[in-house]
Order: sequence, then C-alpha cells, then structure tokens
Amino acid sequence: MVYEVLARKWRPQIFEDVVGQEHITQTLQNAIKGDRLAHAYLFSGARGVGKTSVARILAKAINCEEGEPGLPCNKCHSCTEITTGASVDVQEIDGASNRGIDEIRDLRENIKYMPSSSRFRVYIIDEVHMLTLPAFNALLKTLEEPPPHVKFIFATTDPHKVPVTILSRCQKFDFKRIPLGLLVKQLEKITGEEGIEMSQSGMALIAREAEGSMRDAESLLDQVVSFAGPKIEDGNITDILGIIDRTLLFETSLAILEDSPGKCLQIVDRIYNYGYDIKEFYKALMDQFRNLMVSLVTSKDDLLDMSDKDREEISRQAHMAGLERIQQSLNLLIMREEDLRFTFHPRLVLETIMIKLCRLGDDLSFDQLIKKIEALEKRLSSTASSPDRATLGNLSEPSVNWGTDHLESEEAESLLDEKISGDWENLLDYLSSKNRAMANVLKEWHFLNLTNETLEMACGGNPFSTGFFDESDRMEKLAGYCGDFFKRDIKIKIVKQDKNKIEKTSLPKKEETSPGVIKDSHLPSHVQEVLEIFQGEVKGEVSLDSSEAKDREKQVKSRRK
Amino acid sequence: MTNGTTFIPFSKIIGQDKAVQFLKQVMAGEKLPHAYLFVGIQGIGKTTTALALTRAINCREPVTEEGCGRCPSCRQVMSGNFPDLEQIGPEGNRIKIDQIRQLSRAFGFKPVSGKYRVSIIQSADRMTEEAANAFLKTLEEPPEGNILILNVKEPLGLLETIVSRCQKVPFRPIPVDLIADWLKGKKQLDDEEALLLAKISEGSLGRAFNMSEGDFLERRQDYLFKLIKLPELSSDQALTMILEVTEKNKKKALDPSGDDGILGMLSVWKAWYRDLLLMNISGPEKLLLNIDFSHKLKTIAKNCNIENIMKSFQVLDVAQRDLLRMRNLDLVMENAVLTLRGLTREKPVQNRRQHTPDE
Repeated sequence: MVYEVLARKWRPQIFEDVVGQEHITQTLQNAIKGDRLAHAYLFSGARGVGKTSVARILAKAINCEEGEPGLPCNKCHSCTEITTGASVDVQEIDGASNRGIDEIRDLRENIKYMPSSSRFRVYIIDEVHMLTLPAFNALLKTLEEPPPHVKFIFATTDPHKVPVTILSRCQKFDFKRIPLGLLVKQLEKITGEEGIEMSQSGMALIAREAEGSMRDAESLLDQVVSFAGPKIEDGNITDILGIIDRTLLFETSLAILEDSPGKCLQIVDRIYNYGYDIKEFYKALMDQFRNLMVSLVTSKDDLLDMSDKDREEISRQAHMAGLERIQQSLNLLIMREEDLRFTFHPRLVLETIMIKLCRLGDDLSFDQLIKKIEALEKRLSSTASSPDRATLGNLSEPSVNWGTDHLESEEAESLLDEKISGDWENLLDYLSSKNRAMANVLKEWHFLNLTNETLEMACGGNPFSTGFFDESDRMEKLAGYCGDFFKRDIKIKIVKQDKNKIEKTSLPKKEETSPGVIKDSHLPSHVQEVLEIFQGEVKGEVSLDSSEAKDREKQVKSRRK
Repeated sequence: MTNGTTFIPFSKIIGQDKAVQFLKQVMAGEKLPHAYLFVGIQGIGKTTTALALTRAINCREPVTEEGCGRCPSCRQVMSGNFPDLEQIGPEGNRIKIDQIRQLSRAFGFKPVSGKYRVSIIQSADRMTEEAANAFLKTLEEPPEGNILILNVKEPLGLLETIVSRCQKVPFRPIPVDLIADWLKGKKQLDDEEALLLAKISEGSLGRAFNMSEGDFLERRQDYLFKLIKLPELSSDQALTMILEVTEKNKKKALDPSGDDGILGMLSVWKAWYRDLLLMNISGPEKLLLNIDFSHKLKTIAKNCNIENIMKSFQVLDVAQRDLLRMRNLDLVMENAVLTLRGLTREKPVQNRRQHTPDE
C-alpha cells in the first residue's frame, strides 16, 4: 500500500476536528443550522491552517443526506464522493492552474444547470489569488447573484491580491495561526493514535518550528518518524530537522559580545560544514539578539519562550553587554539582512557581518557619548560656581583620550590624591572603549588602592561579576589593558572583603561630585555627613554659643508649624 | 548536475551519508512521502541522490536497499532511459507555468513501467510565481505512485506554501579532505592543487570538478595578480585593465553559479578580501581559502584598515548582484574597480580616538 503522509491522513473531516479555528467553524455551523448560508465565502490565512479542509467540510455539511445540520456524516453517498473528490456537484478547482478568463467562462456556462444529486453545486476555488484580472472581472456578475443552488468557496493565502469588488461580494473569514499549545495537543493526539513515542519537549520543538501551521507540524513529524522509527528522542528531532541548536547560538552571541572575531569565524565554519542553512542561522541569530534585548527590557517571562536555564544564560549575557550594544548589534543585523539574502556567497557575507558585530564594541555608543557629555556639563557647571583650578584642569580634558600623555602633565602630578580615585573612573572609561564586557563587570567592583606596581580592587556583591576574573586569561587581559593605560606594568591584586569594609572604601567614589569634601576631612564626622547629603561645601565658620543655637532651633521649628 | 549523465549508486555518493541514510531508512519503513525538497548548494549530489533513489524504489527484485542493478528498470535508470523519470529545469532563466502544467497533466496516467514515477524539478526556486502557484495543488495531493523531488539551493526562494508541502532533506557541503581525495583519485592532481581547489570550491564537488577541468587555476592567479597590483595603477591604467577583462568575457554568459567570466573573477576577489579580513583579525589559519597566497596575504593584511576590507568586500558583492540585474558590464565593473582602488590606496585611517585632542 502506498504510504499516505500524516498531513493527508489527518485532514479533518468534521468541523470539530479543525484545530484552533473555532471562531470560523462555530459561525459556519450556526449558519447551516439557521439556514443563513451566504452564497460566497472567502477563506484567507497562512499556509496549513485549515482553509481547504474547512471548505471541504462545509461542502459536505450542506450536501449531506443523513447527518444533523452542521455535522456531515461522512458515510452517505454525497460525503464519500466529496472526500474522494469524485463528486459532480462539488468541484474543487485549482485557481492557480485554471486562472484564465476562458476557464471562468466555462464555469459560468455550467453554473446554470441544477445539481445532479445533491442540494447545492459547490465550487471550491483554491489559490484564488492567482486568477487573472479579467478572470476576476468575468466572475463579478455571477458572484453577486448566483442561482440559488450554487455556492462559491474561495481559499487563498494572499487575500490582498484579490480585487475589492470580489472581496465585497463574499463573506470573509480569516484563519488564525494555530497557537503553540494547540499544535502540541494535536501532535499528542496523532502520536498517541499512530503509536509514536515522543517527549513533550520534542513536540514543542516541532510545534515551534511549524510556526503556527498544522500541516507543517504534521510533515515535520512525518519526517522525524520516517527517519527514527516510532521511538523518537529529542536529539533526533534537532538533528533531522536542522533546527539550530540553542547552545550554538549562545556560543555565537557570547563570542560576539566578547569581541572575539576569531571564534566567530570558527563557528561559521562549523555551521557551514554541518549543512545548516546560513540564512536560517542568520534568522536564528537575529532572534537570539532579540531575546537578549527583551530580557533586558522586561521581566515578563512569556515573551521569552525558553527554558529557565536558557533564560538565565540570556540575561547573564545581556547584562554583560548592556542594552546599547545589543540594540546596535540587532540594528546591524537587520540592516545587513538584505545583503545576505541576495548574495551568492552567504558564508562570506555572514563572516564579514559577524566581524563587524565584534567590532561594534570599539565604537563609542550613544549612551556612552551622552554620559560623557552629561558628566562634562555637570563638571563645568560645578567648576563655574567654584573655580577650582585643579578640578578644572582635571575635567576639561575629555576623558576619552585619557591614558597616554596625560599622566605626565603638570596638573596630574600636583593632584595625585584626587587623581588616583579619578583614575579608576578613567580606567573604566578606557576599558569600556576596549572591552565593554569587562568594563561593565568592573563597574560592580570596588577600587581600593593604586601604587606603582599594583592595583588593588575588591569584588562587589554580584556573584557573576565576582567570578568573572576567576579565569586567568581574563585576568591577563585586564593586566594588559592596565599596562596600556598607565604606561607601566601593573599587577592586579584582588582583595576579598566583608561587606562593611566595601561600603567604606567605596565612599570616595560617591564623593566625587563634591570635590571639596575630601579636603575637609579634618571636620567632625557629622559635619561631613551634612556636607555629603547636601553636596555642599564649607564656605566659612560661624561660631555660635549654645543659647543662641537653641533660639535658632526654636525659630526654625515655629516657622515649620 | 555535473554528474547527471553517469549513474552513481547510494554507496558511492560522497559526503552525503546523512541524507542517504535518511532516505534509506524511509524506504525501509515504506513511508515514502510524495514530495521531497532537497536543499543544498549546487554540485554536492542532489540530483545524483535523486537518481539513486529512483533506482532503489523501482527495482523489481530488491535484494539490497540499493536496487539489484540487473533488472530492466534498474538498467534503464542507470542508462538514463527510464520512462517514469521526468526532469524539468529552468527554460531560459525561469521555470514556466506551461512546464508545470505539462508535468501535472502527465500525472493523470499511471507510471509506465515502474512502481513510482519520479519527477525531479531542478532549481525549483526559479519557478515563476504563476508556475509555483499552479504547482501547489499537484504538490499537495498527487495521484498515487508519484514522487516529486524539488532541488533548491535554499528554501527561502520558494513560496512558503510549497515548502510546507514537502519533506526537507538537507545536503551538507562536502568536507574539504573528501573533495581533495576525490580530485586526487580522479584527476591525478597533486596534493597542494587538490587541497586548494577543495578549499575554494567551498564544499561543492561539482564546482571543484569544473575548476579542475578548465584553466581555472591559471585564470585565478591572473585575477589575483591584477588585484594585488591595483593600488599601484593610475586610474587610467586601472580602467584599461578592467576593460580588457570585460572585453574578453563579453561573449561568455553571466552564469550566476559558474566560476567563469566576470562573475568568477569577482568571486575570486571576494575570497581574497575575506582572507585579508581573516588575517587582519589574526583568525585561525586553517580557515584560509587562498592557501597558496598565505604569505602574501599576511603582509598585505598588516597594512590594511579593517573597515576598508569590509567595504571592498561589499563593493564586490554589490557589483556581482548588479551584473545580474542590469548587465551593463563595463559600467558596473569600472565603478567597482575604481572604488576598490580608492579603498586600497587609502592610508589606514587613524583611530578616531587619536584625533580628538586636535579638534
């Protein structure tokens, strides 16, 4: 016996079997029961969602001799004839092959004859969008007022190609894409009846790949079954269907965000030799970046359709790279998509795009630029009120070009104290232009001390950033960057600290906005606190004896009342 | 496509173990679907596999899964006279609706001598829109005993509605060493040449074979020398250079997949820039394509600006696309060459960060 693919075997034969289109099947059933059938229907929707199936069921339902209204029996003469396609009264026409005006004229000729055995003559025109314009126009008059024994059913994936004059003469039904859950449910039913063993996650995999189309899901299932037999493991599915492995995608996005073009090229090589479709991979990569972006923007889990472990990894990578970088990457991916689509050498194009992506980290992002400008503005305005030569000198240099000749400049020497804590900031700035991932991590770290040979720092509370430098090559990289920045060899020393101490040492960082404070360290601690809270500075000292002070306090209180 | 005339059984197909294995298992399970989509670049054995499949499923005394090779239908398939084998491909540039109609009409009859009629549609992505739509109904529910095999480079060029009606069988690029071995055995090439061809062909046996047939290697060297010399030429000289090349290639068709003519030259150049890029970021050397020029590439790459390499690559890619679309050979090439020359001559742009202090 010739094998019949699942998609054909499981074509629904009654309205109840149609998955995910209740809004249509219900309406049609009610129309049949209430005897309010229109003379022309237009079914539109994506591939494999049930347009042709519903058209056939409708034809059967209105012509069935035995079943209840709206429920074809699938046993009577008329029903079996329609199922096998042998019926004289129900004609299924391929609109794409018979698209000319002559075919439509033939159809009009035949329309006037009464049905031979059933109640109605039904014309199902599939792929109706391919009719030529004259053919459509020739149909208009007939379609508006056909004889009472004639029903038209049109099915198409592209309703916008059908002239409005046709559309307005039909009752139009839009078929929805079938949601993932329903696809899985139907797959469960099929596998159950066909004696196929398959895990829930495997079905989800197939359903996702089918993108809301039942027929796609069924053909994919077919393909997997015909390869792996009735017992199916998830590995088989990814393998056969060429679904791109999530771990590979994670590896790719990590390589890109870590700015390692060499690794990217190796990945492309692997993909190519594995026979993955390059363009499919590109699509998957875009999805990956989209997911990275979504994970930063919202905490809603339902937008990220993946397992918890993957989600964790996604958000880890996303936080490492920062929103700006991810958005830029995604933008580039979208912009260059066209290049990839039309090229003869998708592999080479993909490689250049990946390298470009790796180099995005080198460009300053908008965010960074704006931050820099803001910082500059702030400093300028603060220096305007208290023209302190030292801070002015420190700030008028755009921090971008920090690191080379600046160390030798005169102001730098005279102001070693402030500079050291400022150096940390500048080092971070410098790093973020070299290696954004590392800079973002370092922002969570605390600066402790800088001498001629060593840089001491302590880890922040975040476990991810704490573990970041456990890998020795990252440590070396950092040491290298520091060497470049300070123009001398620097050893990195990581100091483990308890919480309290960290807070203390991180204080100078906060105080940076009020430069006066450091100088006034001889002041009593509560005054310092006040200064810090109001970000003020000490203009001069006024002595008050205690009684006067009390008076003032009273005055203040009464004013408040 | 290249091996269309000679028949190759399943066991001799190179580098497609997975696809072949898949088809064998499907056959063993008697679950042949009515439509296949063979996906893969040109010259890696899609048609060959389709023919092997034809023999295997039509064999009258199936002792092995390959087909016996002695019965009449096996012999007919092997000699290319099998009556139930239909092959259609683009007529001119596209597959037209009449071809599809004709094919569909033939489906009204039972297979003449075998169990199955196999219809192979080459470059199915080049069906016109009308043809593709006319094909839909047949493709979904062909009469019993028909198997359709659609060969495409990539499924994106097809209508979604067509893809969803077929079972997809991916064909992988053939590993470099397999191609090199095959070339060595078949064409008596030396190790180095065989490896080079295998690398440049990017996993396509057909392409590698074609390249080894003609004078491709010499032409390639010529093209590369032209490219290397380009920055030294004045713009006048560059123009004369490229016009000479276009003049020579005017008569040859612009075959999009071939390595002949102008498009071939652009492909060679593209591979060159891709390698420059690889060297510039000091990527792993085993990914290099132009292995015979590795030393030269290294020295050139050192003095190149990475942005310019990428731009040059894009220029070539766009030129290739434009050639197919508007076909004003001279104009497109002149423009491309001059842009390239400008890009290669440009002094490496200094890093923007070093500029800022002056501004």
